Amino acid sequence: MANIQRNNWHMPRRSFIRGAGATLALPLLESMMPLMAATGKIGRSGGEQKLPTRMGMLYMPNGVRSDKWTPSGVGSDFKLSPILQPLQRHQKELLILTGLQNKASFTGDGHYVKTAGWLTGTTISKTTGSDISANGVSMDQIAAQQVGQHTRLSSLELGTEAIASGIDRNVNYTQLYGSHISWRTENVPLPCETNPRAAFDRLFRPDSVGQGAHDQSVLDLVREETKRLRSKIGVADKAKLDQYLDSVREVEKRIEREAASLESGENLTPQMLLQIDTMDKRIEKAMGGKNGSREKVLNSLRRFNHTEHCRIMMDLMALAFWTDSTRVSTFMFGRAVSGRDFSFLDGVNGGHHQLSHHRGLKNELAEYQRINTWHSEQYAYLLDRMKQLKEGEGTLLDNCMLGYGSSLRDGNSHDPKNVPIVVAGKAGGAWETGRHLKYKKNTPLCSLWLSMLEGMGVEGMSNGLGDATKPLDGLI
Amino acid sequence: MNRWLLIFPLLIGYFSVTNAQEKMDSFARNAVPFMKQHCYDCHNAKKAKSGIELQDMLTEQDAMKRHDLLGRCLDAVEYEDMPPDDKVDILPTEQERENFLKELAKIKTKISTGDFEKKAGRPVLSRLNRDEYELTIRDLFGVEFDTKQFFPADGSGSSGFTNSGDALFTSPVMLEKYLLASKAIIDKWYADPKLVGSTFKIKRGSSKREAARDLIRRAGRRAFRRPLTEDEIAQLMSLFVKADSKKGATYKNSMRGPFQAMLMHPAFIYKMEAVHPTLKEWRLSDLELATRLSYFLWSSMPDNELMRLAEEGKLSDKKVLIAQTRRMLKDLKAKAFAEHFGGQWLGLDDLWGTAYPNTKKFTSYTNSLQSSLYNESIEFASHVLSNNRPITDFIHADYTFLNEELAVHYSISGVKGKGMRMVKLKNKHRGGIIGQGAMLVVTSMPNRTSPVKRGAWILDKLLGTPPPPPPPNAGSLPDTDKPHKGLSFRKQLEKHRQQASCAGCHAKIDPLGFGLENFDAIGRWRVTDSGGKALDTKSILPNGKTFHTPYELKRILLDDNALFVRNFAKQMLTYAIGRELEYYDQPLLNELVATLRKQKMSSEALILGIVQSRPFTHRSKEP
Repeated sequence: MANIQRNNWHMPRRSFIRGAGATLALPLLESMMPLMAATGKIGRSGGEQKLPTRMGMLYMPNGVRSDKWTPSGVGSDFKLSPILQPLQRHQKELLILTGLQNKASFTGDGHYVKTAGWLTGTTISKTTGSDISANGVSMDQIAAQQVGQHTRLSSLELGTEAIASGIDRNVNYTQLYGSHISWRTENVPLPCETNPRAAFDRLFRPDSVGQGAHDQSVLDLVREETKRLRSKIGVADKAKLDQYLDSVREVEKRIEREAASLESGENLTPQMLLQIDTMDKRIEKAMGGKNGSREKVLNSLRRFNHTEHCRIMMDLMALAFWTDSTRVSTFMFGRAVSGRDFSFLDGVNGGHHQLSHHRGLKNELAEYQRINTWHSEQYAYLLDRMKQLKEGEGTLLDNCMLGYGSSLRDGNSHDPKNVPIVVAGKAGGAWETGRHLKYKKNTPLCSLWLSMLEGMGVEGMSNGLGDATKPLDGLI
Repeated sequence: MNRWLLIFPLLIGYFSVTNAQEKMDSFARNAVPFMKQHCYDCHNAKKAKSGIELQDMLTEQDAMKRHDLLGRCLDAVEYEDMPPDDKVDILPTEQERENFLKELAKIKTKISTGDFEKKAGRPVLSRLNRDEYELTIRDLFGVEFDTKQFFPADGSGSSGFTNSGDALFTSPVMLEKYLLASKAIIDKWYADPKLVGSTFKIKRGSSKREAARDLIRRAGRRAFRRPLTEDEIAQLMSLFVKADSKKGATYKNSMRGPFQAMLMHPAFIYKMEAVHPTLKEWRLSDLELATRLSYFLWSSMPDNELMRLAEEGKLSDKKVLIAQTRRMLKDLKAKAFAEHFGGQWLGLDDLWGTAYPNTKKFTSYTNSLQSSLYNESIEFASHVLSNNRPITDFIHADYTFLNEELAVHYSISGVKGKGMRMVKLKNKHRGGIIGQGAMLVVTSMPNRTSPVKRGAWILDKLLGTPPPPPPPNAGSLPDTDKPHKGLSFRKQLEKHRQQASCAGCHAKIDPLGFGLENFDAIGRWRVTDSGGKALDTKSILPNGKTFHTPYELKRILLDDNALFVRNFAKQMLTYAIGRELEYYDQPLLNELVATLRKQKMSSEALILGIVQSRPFTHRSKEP
């Protein structure tokens, strides 16, 4: 077990924030960030190792206006649809996939089967609570299990809305399902971090997990004690303690990985540190300034400018990828059935979910489309950022696969067929992007997931995923 | 080949068939064929109309397990709503219908009379949710630690409350946070001499190690809510010894490890209860009972008095249990009961979740107003629960809790300052939960009120009879309440639901909401609609009763309070035992309702009934 004692380089966060800012502060910053080193050598220019591929999945709630999503024309000669128009400057980096579906989500009414099962390709258990199960592991977590050991965090789950509680009486599903797309095991959904400050600290705060003088021995003790107590309880209760035990082990692994990168003496580049510092300030500003108490910061979340909130979370994903802090991440623009008020957009007057039930009315459809388009604008922003971040001979985006889509097509009818999905990035050069690919009816969405897992170098998927037996044709 | 080998499997098949038929209970024989013929077409796993699936209800036991659904089936078939006369299905004959109803009624009677093997049930092992964690830390160290900005939100499962183990997960992120929290909490505690006090004073004549062992024993007992085993003490001691053997180590600093380990220990994080493999059911130990009681009423750990009584084995004594419950309800800590039970039952957390008033339109809707709205309802609930008020105060009361900002919002004069205080109401419309802004906001759309949501809220939260889901493609209303083509918003709504498939349910939902139209989307009183016309608040209930104002609606709810009373008892029992209620809890529910009626709706009578009940004081083995 790696033994990290309290180190001399360790500095409290306060000095981090104060000292950061000018380029002058960089050497200082660097001394604070030894843990940031990446095993993929990406911190060093001209490294010979292959740059790692990263995978991000962006979930958009409540479907899209169906007639304004699909581009016209196929192959590389296609014209973006109105909703995808904001992506024009990135057209060459996109794969737009038409005709995919997640068959396992056809059953059950409403959003929940489709949201919780989006990345698992399974049918979730219909329950109001007592036996929650996705009946499968989500593809991001399949990837995290295999490539996660290379990075400090095996995966990063981000979002903007807290978990919804209670039962959706409309369809008799627990609303928990609508707030989770990542499933570590079939019974353990991973919550999204919605607080930018907490997400930033988890990624970049120097005195993070495992740095406490006693963390190691405490974890050792807790692991053994959990095992001991586990043997004394019933089966259902055991399953709960198993989650605890599994979590203890995962955190121990994370600490080992941090230690390994520390020992290898690798470090972040000045450019990375500068970006991290800029991010820190931006969060400070967005969340009510430095002087805001924690409570104020929390209260400000409620009135957080939604656009800025989403952009900060996506920027964190980009930075986490660029610094190779993780290679797998998900982001939920909102939870399923999100009623978020979008009247901050001109021409929109109402909540997201409500407007998605447009009843075919002209005004509602226009407002719905505007909300969809706003999501594309945010996605385009993330792609901008990923292009700005240089890596090797190209950009970060070249080494990514960034999925963006919804688990419904038309929100009014909860149509699960031909779901909207775009992937950006070349998967490290493996994919030929800049195309609109039309697949024949009933092509499994899970085939795309298999392709993405292949792009991540994940092995052992020969049994397929969900209703898919093989990866998608035509991406390479 | 020997032909017996061929016949043998057939024989087995034959015997198992006859066996199965003999074993079939009356429900399987008489009710299932009816459902096969008349219900399965729509209510199967694939279609599940109205979210109802019936294909798995094959035996009496199945039917009992789904007692809630059973009641709905009974009503639907009795009032001939089902099977629908849509010219597709074959309608059952009168006789068939009657026979089917008889079977359902038999099961219903069985459940309500408790004609089955008694069972206490068992909640799934539950970790402290983030509210409980925060309050437990407060009581353990005196340290304020805001978990809301630190831990991810907890979900709630079928119970609707975030204290039920089945919906509380632990993921690596959570564990990282526990680890960081444990360190931060100890740091904060150590840094405050007032909080530390004489904790690290070593008694004359004691060695450092003796002192450490003693401190671990005492602190551990409070953290684990039970005495530690010698083994557990030894484990924690080993951390102390390791740290203390380093050069320059101080007693206080060497105790950091043991304290941190206590906060990470499953015995702290989880509310563990012992298992007795040889017993079918057993009484909880006094210490386990103390933990249940304190998390029920305080959302936190037992205090010294409770621990002492439990260790002396006195808590399970009826008189002591009652006295302690009364004492705890009077304690300030019982505010957590109002906040977590009351707030979650009524869905008030939605103020920070699904409710999004458009602040461009409602400029007076500020963060602080939102907090005041929430506090009003929590103070109110706290008053009802801690002062033995009748639970019907939730429907109507002549008081509420206001500060200046909220009083101005409600157009009530004479309230100054930021603090919430009890205010007698002259206006009869405002009192009770459905006249409070928090409820009115969470049931509104960003730009307008929603009589449908408000009506559904009353049916669901207050009466425990949530309306069935709308059919697919039911559509929704415009996002503003502006008059459209000369029709007021109400007229649009009425037109919208004229379709036969909508009218049935909306006739039950909408009138309740219309009765609250005098409250706008952020809870202010109004008499005109957005078009400037006088509001049309006339409401006609399905039974023909007509009313015009919130007060009249409350009168109607009070006059016929059976559903409310039962639902209230059900919600509180669910919260108290941390699991969804099962069929075997129904007789207890009947008893609690009877107690409430006998004792003039006394909230204390209900709480005392719950803490003495079997599911609260006992635990069954796993099914």
